[in-house]
Parts: sequence; structure tokens; C-alpha cells
Amino acid sequence: MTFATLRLRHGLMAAAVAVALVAAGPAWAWYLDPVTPVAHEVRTLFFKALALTGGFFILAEVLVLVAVLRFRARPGVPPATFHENVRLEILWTAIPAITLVILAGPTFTTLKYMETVPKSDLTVEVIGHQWFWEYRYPEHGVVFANEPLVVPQGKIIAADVSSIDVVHSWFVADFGVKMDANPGRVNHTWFEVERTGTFRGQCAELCGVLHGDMHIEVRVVTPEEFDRWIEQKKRGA
Amino acid sequence: MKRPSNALLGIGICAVVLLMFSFAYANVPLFKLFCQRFGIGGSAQAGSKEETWEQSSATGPMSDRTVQVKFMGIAASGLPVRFGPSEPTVEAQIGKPVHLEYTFTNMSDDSVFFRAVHSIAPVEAAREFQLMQCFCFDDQALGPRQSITLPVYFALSPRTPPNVNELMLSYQLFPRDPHRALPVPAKEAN
Amino acid sequence: MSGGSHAPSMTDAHAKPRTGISKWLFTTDHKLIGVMYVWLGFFFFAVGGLFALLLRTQLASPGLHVLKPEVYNQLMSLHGTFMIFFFTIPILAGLGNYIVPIQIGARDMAFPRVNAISFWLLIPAGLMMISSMFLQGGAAAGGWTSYPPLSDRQYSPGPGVDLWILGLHLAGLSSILGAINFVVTVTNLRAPGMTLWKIPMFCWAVFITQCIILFATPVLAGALTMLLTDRMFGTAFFLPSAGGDPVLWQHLFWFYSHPAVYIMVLPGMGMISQVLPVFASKRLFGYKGLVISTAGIGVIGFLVWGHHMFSTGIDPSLRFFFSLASMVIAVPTGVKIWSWIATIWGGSIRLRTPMLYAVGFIALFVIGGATGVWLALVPFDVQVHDTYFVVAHLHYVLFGGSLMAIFAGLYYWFPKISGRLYNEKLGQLHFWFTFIGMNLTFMPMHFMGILGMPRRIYTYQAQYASWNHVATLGSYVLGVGMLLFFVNMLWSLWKGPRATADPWEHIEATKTLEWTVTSPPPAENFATLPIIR
Repeated sequence: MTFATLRLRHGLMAAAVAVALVAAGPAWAWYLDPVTPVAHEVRTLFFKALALTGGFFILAEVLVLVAVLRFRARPGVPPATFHENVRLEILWTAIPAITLVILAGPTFTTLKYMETVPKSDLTVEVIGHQWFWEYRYPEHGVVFANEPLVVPQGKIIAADVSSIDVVHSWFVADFGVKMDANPGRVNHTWFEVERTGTFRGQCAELCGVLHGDMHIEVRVVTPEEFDRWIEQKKRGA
Repeated sequence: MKRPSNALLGIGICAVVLLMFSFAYANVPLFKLFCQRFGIGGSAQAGSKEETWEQSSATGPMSDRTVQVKFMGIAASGLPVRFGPSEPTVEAQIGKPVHLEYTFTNMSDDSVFFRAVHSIAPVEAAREFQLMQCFCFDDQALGPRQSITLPVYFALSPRTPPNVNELMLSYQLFPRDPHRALPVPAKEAN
Repeated sequence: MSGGSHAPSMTDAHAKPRTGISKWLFTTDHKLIGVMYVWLGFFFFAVGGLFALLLRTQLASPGLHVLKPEVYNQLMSLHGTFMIFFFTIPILAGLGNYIVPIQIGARDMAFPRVNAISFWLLIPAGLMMISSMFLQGGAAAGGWTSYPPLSDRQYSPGPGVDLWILGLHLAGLSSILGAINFVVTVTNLRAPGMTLWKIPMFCWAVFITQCIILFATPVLAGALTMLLTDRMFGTAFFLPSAGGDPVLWQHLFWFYSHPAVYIMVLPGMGMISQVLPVFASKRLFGYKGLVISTAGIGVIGFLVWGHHMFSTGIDPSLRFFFSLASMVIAVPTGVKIWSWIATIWGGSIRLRTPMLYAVGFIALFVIGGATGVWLALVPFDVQVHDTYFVVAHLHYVLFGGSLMAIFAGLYYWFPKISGRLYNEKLGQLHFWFTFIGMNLTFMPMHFMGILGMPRRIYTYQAQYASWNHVATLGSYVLGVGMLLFFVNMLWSLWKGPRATADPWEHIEATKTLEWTVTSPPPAENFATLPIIR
């Protein structure tokens, strides 16, 4: 192995890392655009996890790289002979364990927050079919399928999710909401969208041939606009 | 160094394998029991459990807290039954039994046989939900174009978690005749 | 059963040496069986890999029509099934089969005929899987997880799912028989003087893995049987319409399939623990810690299956329990990583192909480990569950982990098994194609997943296009790399220079028993059984 090929290889490795990092930038930025309180919480938790685990990750990768670069076999330089160090081993068991205990705290509070069921302003029944979604507004007597879900901005929406045939999953990434639609069961989730707009999602549990076409579209409108829309729907039905 | 013979050890390990295989089957009843005990998957406590309530009401007064109970109904694809409760929602007082009527209508000219499967969300409320009388405990039959009304009695135990403000009681109807034709495009129940 | 309580001596298979095809067909020799496992594994690796390339081609851009949706779902399901049950698990069983008896100083496995049965069961199993593609309705298309009701008769009427179930049953039986064999072999057939704390790390890893198989695989067999009777005999274990519960399948399936991840990765970690010291010319650091952490992962691995089900609506307190248990797994895994780094630290590193793969394993597995901790956090898991983030995570664990380790082990033992040397230049080139291609393919999947692209979809919305272009490009780089690998292996098997007993020039502290005998080792491995001091 010549020095030139070595350099080439490390160059390649560095390039791959750089490309990945540069490429990662916009993805994270795009990702950081939560529109519900739960999504905010999830992203905050994710950053805590990233901060707590990132140190170990970088340390491990750097140590591996340094070891490979520094401790190459050279004539006349014998390898070290150490092969245990109880104190070190206790340390690298204890420190990650403590870190995880620290991480468990915000996980628990975020989980509790997601699971608390606030008094809802609007109930939506979400029913998965092969391969479309049926939405019902029981308080308004409105039922439709294959159309965007329309909800008012700034209101707490209770979503009760179920399925008529196989397992589906109602998933809108920007809301931080994913709930399996199990036949014979009902699952409860909630969301409160902070701003108006159209948000896209998709069925997230393999449900047969056209699983990839089972889109979700949620139109978030002002409460006034929602009232007009629902009245129109009632008349239309 | 005393080691068991290969054959003996092999047979011992086979016993472990058989044990784990039966463990899978043991899970069928165990899982059901577990779900009912802990309300997982929204199976309510079936049957009356007055005695446990007396214990808890003895330790403290029955609260006048209410929880909004909503109802959801799904008929399986191809089951031409419309059904729904007498009231769209109920403000259920904790510990006080609620009576409700469900009306079922057969929309077709043939007899239908079905079974309702109930489910309660959220999970932590389900385990405190006592379903005392329900049409979902039995198979149901409807003649052509027939309409029937069946009662439901339920109550929320005083242990219902304080963070539960509303809950959903859902029924899904499944056809009972196994030789039915395969599903036709969905019809809306309700 | 053959074998008995004494170490097996000349069995009839060896009494009159067979030649040609019957040498392979009727052998009970652990080395020949091991080699057949490796061939079978790579056959399915090639098929599953081609499927993956087809899937990536369909996903190269949104709205392509390379594969029909139903074909996509079948290939996707078979890709997972082949790579897990017909490549990773068998090839690890194969390398274990070849190496473990020699490393512990035995002449063969405890039950040589059972060993042969274990291997040959995989042939009908694989044939069932492959033939199902050509039958009406095609192969199983419910993913390798085959959740009911989608996998029930009503929604998957063809014979594909039945053949899938029966094929997995046979593969599972093969695995269980193999596990019984390994456990007895390592318990009873160790050379005199090889006490528990002298067992080589690879053998420990295989032993613990086989123990996991004994406790996990029968549960899968039970669940598969229930699914089969649901489909064929009208039972309703998982049918909600008749009082069954589809979520019970998910519990049983993941009770097996999470430990299955460790079944696939622990032997690989054993190989890494073997390869790193050899090419750093330094003793393995923290041997006892590594054994204990391996066993710890094995045990805790049975308590974390619920983290695959955080969005199914399981009980909140259960969610928190599974979350904690899954986080705990990171501790023993970390012990391994740090011990490996300490092993090469201060050594005299020779960056030959096995070492490149071993170091690459650490670099990639750390990524899979970190994303694994994130996935243990319920709120984040709910966000990215069933998206490409999970696909990225699992490939960093199973491709970056298991497959890199398999390549490390394979290059390391190739001279021992074949008696020939592979081409080092091609081997290193293969590594760089794999390493770069792997990252190009799977790193972008993290971002797709976070952006909300679900897994198992045959086409996607335009917003995910750029990352998918990169991933598809990466998969082609991987394809070229694997081509180099197959060319190298086949050419070297045929024309490679002869290998000595110890082509790697082990130092005394890292020299396990297989390097004390000729390459390939003689029949019965040892003229006289070694005594370990």
C-alpha cells in the first residue's frame, strides 16, 4: 500500500462525510418546521437526544479514525500489550447509563404530554379503507371519503382512528401524529394546528397493493372559514 | 469435569423449544386476560363489577366529575346494517351507570347475521370502563329490512384517570356467516 | 442420535471418502456443511440484492413504472425475507458450523446428522419461497412482517402467503435444530483445558446467539402456525371479525423478531472481536466484559419488542417500560464499541480487507446504535416509525453491522476454508465500493423518513425525489461492489495462490486453534486433540 493510495482513501472518506453533512443541512432545516404543540415537543426531545448521544457518537468515530491513522504497523514499533482496565470499563458502562437516565426524563414528560387527552373542540373519526380514508364529523353529521380533511386552526381536534379492513396508519409528519388504524379497535389521538395551510401525509402501515397511493391531505383553515365549509357540507349531504 | 451426555442435553434443550412453542399459544388466552385487566386495545371490563366500586367509594365520596363519552360505529364492508346510539354523546357522571339505546336497521332484503366488537379509547380510560350490558356480548340477527333497538349499560369507575376528559366507545360490526360473498365497496354505517 | 456422550471419532461418512456430488449430498462433515451454508447464503444474497436493485430502480424518481405495485410489494417482502432468513441467519450458521468446532478443539458438531438435516431443510424452504413468485397471485406481499388481517385469506387469497409460512417454518426448524447442535457442541465438546473464560469470543457469540434462537424461534413457529390455521382451517387467532386480535400477531412476531436482530448481529460482533485483535496484533481488550455484554444483550433483547409497536395503541405505561428497556440495550452495546476501540488503540494495525471491514463495521454500527437510541424514545419513534428513517436504521444495523461483519469474517477465514488466497486489491476495492455505496444509499433514507416518507410504498411524492436519486445511485455503487466481490471469490477459489496454515501471521495471543492446522483443515480437524493451557 503506497502513501498516495492511502491519502486517496482518506480523502474519499472525508469527501463522503462532507457530502453527507452538507446534504444533511437542508433536510434538518426543513424538518424543523413543527405546526402542532406535540410536534414542537417531539423536535425538542429529538434535539436533547441528539445532544446527549451525539457526543458519544463523535467520540467513537473520531477515536476509530485516529486509531486507524496513528497505530499503523511500522517495523520496529511493537504493539502495546494492555488488554484490561477495570476502572475504564466501569466508567464506560456507567457514563452512558447515567446519560440514558437523564434522557429518560424528557422522554417521559413528552410522552405524558402526548397521551393527555385535552377537552376537544372538534371530533373527527378517521377510518382506513383499502385504499382511501373516510372522515366523519359526528358532531355535524358530515361523512365523506377520498377528500381532504378540513380542520380549524388553533382548535383541539380529537381524532379517533380505526379501520374497516386491514391495518392502516394515519400519519401526518408535520403534526407529529401517527396512529395505527386497527380493525375492531379504536385508537385516540389529538392535534392542534397552529397555522393555516395544506399538510400532506400518507398511510404508514403496509395495507396491500395500493398502499403507496393512500395519501392524506389536511387543509387547515381559520375557524370562520371552517364554519362556512361545514355548513356547506351539511347542505350538500 | 462432569458434563451431561449429548443426548440428555439435547433432549433438555428440546424441552425448552417445546415450552417456548406452547408459550406462543398460551399467549392467546393470556393476552386476552391481560388486555381486559389493563384495558389494552380498548377492551373494557366486561360484566358488572359493583363490588370493587363499593370498596373505592367507601374510601372517598363518589365524585360529580363527568367525562364526555362519544360513540363511533363501523359496519364491515358489505354488511348492509345502519346503526347508531340514541344520543350522539353522553356526559357520563363518574360511578353512575349510563343507559343507552342502539338502533340497528337492515338495509337489505336478506337476513343478516353479525357480531359487534367493542373498543374504548384512550387505553388508560378503557381499563376503568365497565360495560355491564351490551349487544356486543352476543351474535345478532336481523330479518330483511328489520329494525331493532338494543340497550347498552355502562359506567366509569371512580379510578378513571383525571387527565381523561373524553373517551370514545366504538363498535365495529362483522358479518358472522363465514360463507358470505367477498366485500363489495364500502357502505357508510351511521 | 449419533454422537453419543463421547467425542465423535471416525463416523461412517468418513470411513470411505466420497467424491463428486455425493461427497456434498451425503456429508455429515461440519466443514462441508458449513461451506454449503455459505453458498446457499450467497445465492439468496444475490437474489435478494437484485430485488433490492429493482426496488431502488423503481424508486429512482417519483411516478416511475418499472415495477407494478403488486410486484413491488412482492419483491419488497421477499427482499426482507431472503436477506434475514435465507442469507444472514444461514450464512452465520455456516461460518459458525465451519469455525466453532475447530476453535473449541472438536472433531465435529455434537450431532453431525442433525447438522446435515438442518442444512438440507433450507433447500425446500428456499424453493417454496422462490416458487411462490411464479404461482397465481404471486409471492407473499405483506412485507417480511406479514401483519394480519392483510396476510389473512380474505386479503391475500393466493398460495403465496401459505408457502411463505411453510418456508419460514422449515427455515425456523433448521435454525432450531442447528441451535440445539451448537449449544450441545460448545457445552460438551470443548478440548480439555478450555474452560469457560478461555472460549474464543466468536464461539461465545455463536453460543449466546443459539441460546436466543432456542427461546425466540419456537415462538415465531407458534405464531406462524396460528396464522396458517387462520388461513386454512378457519381458526380466528388474529381475525377481529371472529373475536381474534391482529395485534396479538404483532406481539408474538416482534417477541421473536427483535431478538432476531441480535441473532443476526451478535455472531458478527463475535467475528469483529476476532478480527480486530489479529490485525492490530494485540490481545482483545476486556474479554470478560465483552462476554457479559453479549449475554446481557441476549437477555434484555427479549424485553424490548414493544418498541416496534409504539403507534399501535398499546398501554402508556407499557410504552414507557419498552422505551426504557430499549435504551438500556445501548449500555452493553457501548461496552462493546469502547472495548473494540481500546483493542486497536496502541496496536500495530495492518489494514487488510478483513480489518477494513471490521473498522467499517464499527464506524457504521455506531450510527445504527445512535439512531437506535433515538428510536427507543417513544415520541420520536411515533414520528418516524414505519418511515424510511427505520429503513435507514435497520440497514445501518444489519448492512453496516451484520453484513460488514460477515465480509470481515469471510475474507479473514477465506484462506482457511478454501486453502487459497483472495486478491487483496480487489478485496479492498470491494470494501470502498461497499462503504461508500452503503452510506450513499442509506444515509439519505434518514432524511426521507424524517420528512415523512413512509416505507414500503411503490412510489412517492415529488418532495422526496432528490434524496431518492442519491439512494438509488448508492445502490448501484453497492451493486458494482458486490460484483467485484463475487468475481474475486470465484476467481480466487479457482486460481488463487495456495494459503499456508497461517497466512495472517497471528501473534501468539490472537491465534485461535483453526490457524494451527492446515488450510483447509484435514478431515476430523486434528490428528490429536489439542490440550489448552
